[in-house]
Amino acid sequence: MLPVQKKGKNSYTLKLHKDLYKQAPLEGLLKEDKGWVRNLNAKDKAYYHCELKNAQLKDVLEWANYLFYLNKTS
Amino acid sequence: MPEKHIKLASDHAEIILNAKVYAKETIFAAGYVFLDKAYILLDQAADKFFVYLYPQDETADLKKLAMEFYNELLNYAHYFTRVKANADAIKSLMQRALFSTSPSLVQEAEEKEIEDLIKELEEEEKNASGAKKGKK
Repeated sequence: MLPVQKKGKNSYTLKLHKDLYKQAPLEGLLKEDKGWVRNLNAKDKAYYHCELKNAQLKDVLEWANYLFYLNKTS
Repeated sequence: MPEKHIKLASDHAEIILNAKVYAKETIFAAGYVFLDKAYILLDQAADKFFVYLYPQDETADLKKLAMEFYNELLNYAHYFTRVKANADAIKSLMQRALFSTSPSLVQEAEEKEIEDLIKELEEEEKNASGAKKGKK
Protein backbone atom coordinates (compact mmCIF):
# COMPACT_ATOMS: atom_id res chain seq x y z
CA MET A 1 0.00 0.00 0.00
CA LEU A 2 1.27 3.45 -0.85
CA PRO A 3 2.49 5.52 2.11
CA VAL A 4 0.34 8.44 0.93
CA GLN A 5 -3.42 8.00 0.77
CA LYS A 6 -6.17 10.44 -0.15
CA LYS A 7 -8.72 10.66 2.67
CA GLY A 8 -11.06 13.41 1.60
CA LYS A 9 -11.41 16.20 -0.91
CA ASN A 10 -8.32 18.03 0.31
CA SER A 11 -7.00 15.66 2.92
CA TYR A 12 -4.27 13.02 2.88
CA THR A 13 -2.70 10.57 5.31
CA LEU A 14 0.97 9.76 5.27
CA LYS A 15 2.36 6.54 6.75
CA LEU A 16 5.96 6.85 7.91
CA HIS A 17 7.80 3.78 9.18
CA LYS A 18 9.40 4.39 12.58
CA ASP A 19 12.57 2.50 11.63
CA LEU A 20 13.11 4.85 8.70
CA TYR A 21 11.95 8.23 9.93
CA LYS A 22 13.47 9.64 13.12
CA GLN A 23 11.19 10.92 15.82
CA ALA A 24 12.91 14.25 16.59
CA PRO A 25 12.75 15.83 13.09
CA LEU A 26 9.17 14.63 12.66
CA GLU A 27 8.06 16.09 15.97
CA GLY A 28 9.78 19.38 15.16
CA LEU A 29 8.07 19.55 11.80
CA LEU A 30 4.67 18.62 13.26
CA LYS A 31 5.03 21.44 15.75
CA GLU A 32 6.01 23.85 12.98
CA ASP A 33 3.09 22.83 10.73
CA LYS A 34 0.44 22.12 13.36
CA GLY A 35 -2.03 24.25 11.43
CA TRP A 36 -2.40 21.61 8.74
CA VAL A 37 -0.51 18.47 9.81
CA ARG A 38 -1.16 16.28 12.83
CA ASN A 39 -0.08 12.91 14.17
CA LEU A 40 -3.04 10.53 14.31
CA ASN A 41 -1.64 8.29 17.08
CA ALA A 42 -2.97 5.21 15.30
CA LYS A 43 -3.03 1.69 16.74
CA ASP A 44 -0.37 0.56 14.27
CA LYS A 45 2.74 1.19 16.39
CA ALA A 46 5.24 0.52 13.59
CA TYR A 47 4.24 3.71 11.80
CA TYR A 48 3.63 7.38 12.39
CA HIS A 49 0.31 8.24 10.78
CA CYS A 50 0.10 11.87 9.80
CA GLU A 51 -2.97 13.64 8.54
CA LEU A 52 -2.41 16.58 6.20
CA LYS A 53 -5.47 18.80 5.80
CA ASN A 54 -6.25 21.41 3.17
CA ALA A 55 -3.50 20.02 0.99
CA GLN A 56 -2.89 18.88 -2.55
CA LEU A 57 -0.76 15.83 -3.32
CA LYS A 58 2.12 18.13 -4.27
CA ASP A 59 2.00 19.80 -0.84
CA VAL A 60 2.09 16.41 0.87
CA LEU A 61 5.04 15.26 -1.22
CA GLU A 62 6.93 18.50 -0.62
CA TRP A 63 6.34 18.10 3.11
CA ALA A 64 7.59 14.49 2.94
CA ASN A 65 10.68 15.62 1.01
CA TYR A 66 11.48 18.21 3.65
CA LEU A 67 11.10 15.54 6.33
CA PHE A 68 13.45 13.30 4.33
CA TYR A 69 15.96 16.17 4.18
CA LEU A 70 15.71 16.71 7.94
CA ASN A 71 16.20 13.00 8.56
CA LYS A 72 19.32 12.95 6.41
CA THR A 73 20.87 16.06 7.89
CA SER A 74 19.98 15.72 11.56
CA MET B 1 16.49 -7.83 -12.94
CA PRO B 2 15.20 -4.21 -12.91
CA GLU B 3 11.67 -5.02 -14.19
CA LYS B 4 11.14 -7.28 -11.18
CA HIS B 5 12.24 -4.59 -8.75
CA ILE B 6 10.75 -1.50 -10.38
CA LYS B 7 7.02 -0.93 -10.62
CA LEU B 8 5.83 1.98 -12.70
CA ALA B 9 2.54 3.73 -11.96
CA SER B 10 1.02 6.75 -13.70
CA ASP B 11 2.66 9.30 -11.43
CA HIS B 12 5.43 7.46 -9.60
CA ALA B 13 7.98 4.65 -9.69
CA GLU B 14 8.24 2.10 -6.91
CA ILE B 15 11.65 0.56 -6.31
CA ILE B 16 11.90 -2.59 -4.22
CA LEU B 17 15.29 -3.14 -2.58
CA ASN B 18 16.73 -6.06 -0.67
CA ALA B 19 17.65 -4.84 2.80
CA LYS B 20 20.52 -7.35 2.91
CA VAL B 21 22.11 -5.65 -0.09
CA TYR B 22 21.36 -1.97 0.52
CA ALA B 23 21.68 -0.30 3.93
CA LYS B 24 19.30 2.39 5.11
CA GLU B 25 22.16 4.93 5.08
CA THR B 26 22.84 4.15 1.41
CA ILE B 27 19.20 4.76 0.52
CA PHE B 28 19.12 8.07 2.39
CA ALA B 29 22.38 9.16 0.76
CA ALA B 30 21.10 8.33 -2.73
CA GLY B 31 17.73 9.91 -1.99
CA TYR B 32 19.40 13.10 -0.82
CA VAL B 33 20.90 13.55 -4.30
CA PHE B 34 17.43 13.16 -5.81
CA LEU B 35 15.64 15.69 -3.62
CA ASP B 36 15.76 18.36 -6.31
CA LYS B 37 14.32 16.20 -9.06
CA ALA B 38 11.92 13.84 -7.26
CA TYR B 39 9.69 13.58 -4.23
CA ILE B 40 10.76 10.58 -2.18
CA LEU B 41 8.76 8.39 0.15
CA LEU B 42 10.19 5.38 1.95
CA ASP B 43 8.69 2.27 3.47
CA GLN B 44 9.99 -1.06 4.71
CA ALA B 45 8.67 -4.55 5.34
CA ALA B 46 10.56 -7.66 6.46
CA ASP B 47 13.81 -7.64 4.52
CA LYS B 48 12.75 -5.11 1.90
CA PHE B 49 12.89 -1.36 1.46
CA PHE B 50 10.40 0.41 -0.79
CA VAL B 51 11.34 3.69 -2.42
CA TYR B 52 8.59 5.72 -4.09
CA LEU B 53 9.82 8.34 -6.53
CA TYR B 54 7.41 11.03 -7.74
CA PRO B 55 9.15 13.14 -10.40
CA GLN B 56 8.99 16.90 -9.85
CA ASP B 57 8.95 17.38 -13.60
CA GLU B 58 5.77 15.61 -14.68
CA THR B 59 7.16 14.94 -18.16
CA ALA B 60 10.13 13.01 -16.77
CA ASP B 61 10.70 9.41 -17.81
CA LEU B 62 9.85 7.34 -14.71
CA LYS B 63 11.90 4.31 -15.69
CA LYS B 64 14.93 6.45 -16.43
CA LEU B 65 14.52 8.17 -13.07
CA ALA B 66 14.34 4.82 -11.28
CA MET B 67 17.41 3.51 -13.10
CA GLU B 68 19.32 6.69 -12.21
CA PHE B 69 18.35 6.10 -8.61
CA TYR B 70 19.80 2.59 -8.86
CA ASN B 71 23.06 4.06 -10.16
CA GLU B 72 23.20 6.47 -7.26
CA LEU B 73 22.53 3.62 -4.83
CA LEU B 74 25.43 1.67 -6.29
CA ASN B 75 27.63 4.74 -6.09
CA TYR B 76 26.93 5.22 -2.37
CA ALA B 77 27.04 1.50 -1.55
CA HIS B 78 30.53 1.44 -3.07
CA TYR B 79 31.51 4.64 -1.26
CA PHE B 80 30.45 3.30 2.15
CA THR B 81 32.19 -0.04 1.52
CA ARG B 82 35.44 1.75 0.60
CA VAL B 83 35.20 4.04 3.64
CA LYS B 84 34.81 1.00 5.87
CA ALA B 85 37.66 -0.88 4.21
CA ASN B 86 40.00 2.12 4.28
CA ALA B 87 39.08 3.35 7.75
CA ASP B 88 42.55 2.66 9.19
CA ALA B 89 44.35 4.31 6.30
CA ILE B 90 42.05 7.35 6.46
CA LYS B 91 42.64 7.64 10.21
CA SER B 92 46.39 7.51 9.78
CA LEU B 93 46.31 10.11 6.97
CA MET B 94 44.15 12.42 9.05
CA GLN B 95 46.52 12.09 11.99
CA ARG B 96 49.48 12.88 9.75
CA ALA B 97 47.68 15.91 8.32
CA LEU B 98 46.86 17.19 11.79
CA PHE B 99 50.44 16.62 12.97
CA SER B 100 51.82 18.54 10.00
CA THR B 101 49.85 21.64 10.99
CA SER B 102 51.33 21.53 14.51
CA PRO B 103 54.95 20.26 14.59
CA SER B 104 54.97 20.33 18.41
CA LEU B 105 52.44 17.47 18.34
CA VAL B 106 54.90 15.41 16.27
CA GLN B 107 57.65 16.08 18.80
CA GLU B 108 55.34 15.07 21.67
CA ALA B 109 54.32 11.91 19.86
CA GLU B 110 57.97 11.03 19.16
CA GLU B 111 58.98 11.63 22.80
CA LYS B 112 56.08 9.46 23.96
CA GLU B 113 57.11 6.73 21.55
CA ILE B 114 60.73 6.84 22.80
CA GLU B 115 59.56 6.71 26.44
CA ASP B 116 57.39 3.70 25.66
CA LEU B 117 60.31 1.94 23.95
CA ILE B 118 62.64 2.62 26.92
CA LYS B 119 60.01 1.28 29.36
CA GLU B 120 59.59 -1.79 27.18
CA LEU B 121 63.37 -2.41 27.13
CA GLU B 122 63.63 -1.92 30.90
CA GLU B 123 60.86 -4.45 31.50
CA GLU B 124 62.53 -6.93 29.15
CA GLU B 125 65.84 -6.50 31.01
CA LYS B 126 64.11 -7.00 34.38
CA ASN B 127 62.42 -10.13 33.13
CA ALA B 128 65.69 -11.47 31.68
CA SER B 129 67.66 -10.84 34.91
CA GLY B 130 64.81 -12.38 36.96
CA ALA B 131 64.98 -15.49 34.83
CA LYS B 132 68.80 -15.77 35.28
CA LYS B 133 68.53 -15.49 39.06
CA GLY B 134 65.88 -18.14 39.02
CA LYS B 135 68.23 -20.57 37.18
CA LYS B 136 71.10 -20.00 39.66
